[in-house]
Amino acid sequence: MMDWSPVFISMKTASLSIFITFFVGLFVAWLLVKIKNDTLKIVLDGIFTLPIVLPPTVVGFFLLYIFGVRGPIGKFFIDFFTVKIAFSWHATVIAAVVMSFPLMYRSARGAFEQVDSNLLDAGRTLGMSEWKIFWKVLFANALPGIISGGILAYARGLGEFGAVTLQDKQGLSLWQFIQKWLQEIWGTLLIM
Amino acid sequence: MGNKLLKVNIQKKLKEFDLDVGFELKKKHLGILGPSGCGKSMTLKSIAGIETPDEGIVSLTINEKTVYFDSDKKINLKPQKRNVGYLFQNYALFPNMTVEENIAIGASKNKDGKKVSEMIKRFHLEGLEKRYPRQLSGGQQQRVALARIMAYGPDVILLDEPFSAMDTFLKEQLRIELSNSLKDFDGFTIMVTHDREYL
Repeated sequence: MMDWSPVFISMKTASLSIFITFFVGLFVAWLLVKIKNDTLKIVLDGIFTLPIVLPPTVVGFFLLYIFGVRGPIGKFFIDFFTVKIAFSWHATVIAAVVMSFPLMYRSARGAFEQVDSNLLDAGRTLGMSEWKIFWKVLFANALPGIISGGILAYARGLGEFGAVTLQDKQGLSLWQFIQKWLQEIWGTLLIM
Repeated sequence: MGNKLLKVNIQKKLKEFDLDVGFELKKKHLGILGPSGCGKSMTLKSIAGIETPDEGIVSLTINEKTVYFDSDKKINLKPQKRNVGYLFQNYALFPNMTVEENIAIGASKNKDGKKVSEMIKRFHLEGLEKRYPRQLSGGQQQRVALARIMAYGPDVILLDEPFSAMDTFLKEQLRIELSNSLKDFDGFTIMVTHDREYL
């Protein structure tokens, strides 16, 4: 009898993460399109695209560092909410979000930039609120590109292995940690 | 035409040159003629609030004076608050909306649904309500764009090279259509063109 639980966990992680990635990606893409300062734009673009350039394991270790008990964000959550993020299911969602974010953000930004800026100005001179312009004009006309970005991001979130597998190993020394991780990779390869 | 005055006096540093325009408009229509890239569109956009000049004043008086822009007093009304209609060179109809929906965007300020059908009748768009902009001819697109602006009920209409993308025959026809539809508009119109014939 085959164990289907990995499939369901993956689906659950990917589904929640695409929900977050989709809206955060849209919002960040919109912010970047609006920024007029070119230097700032290039720097931010570099940062947001980084997760797809770096090896997934590097991103995974980096996330562990940030969200770990002694990491800047992890410590904050422990101190104020007594919630431990590292090595939990939440951490896998965060890892999936970070890894799939660049795909969503890049596609949405490209799609936004394809929309004629006169349309936005026309909306403004016709008294539409910025919120309405965003959804009814910008979003609606960029939809094909946004959907393809969403699909890519979902696929990435579902298939992401490197950064995600690093997130759920608790209380191990570095050596045990790597050992367990290698075992997991080996196990995955055997299944395939 | 009562007590109406449109006052524009703006300066803006552009890449190639410094724009410095000033005029006071009491009559209904103004045509601005000039070669491409001399700042005509920039002037219109500054009146509409799409672009922000570096310095100057834009104000509209219709019985009462409304200051749209004043660099000294740090006033800069948003385009949404200016009540200025802008006819874009490419008409800028929303491609994801039908003719009816496009006009309804302009009419959303006043709630009653009659405005849309009224505009459709006035601009001879009957039968085209459910079409999308890409399914219309250039002339029809221009009429929809005008209907959308008129539905909004602006005090000033700005026309940015309305005939630039047309062939000669169509241009003549559109010019007549345009002047007909603007005849019973009692606000200001400013048209910008590089073609002397069409002023």
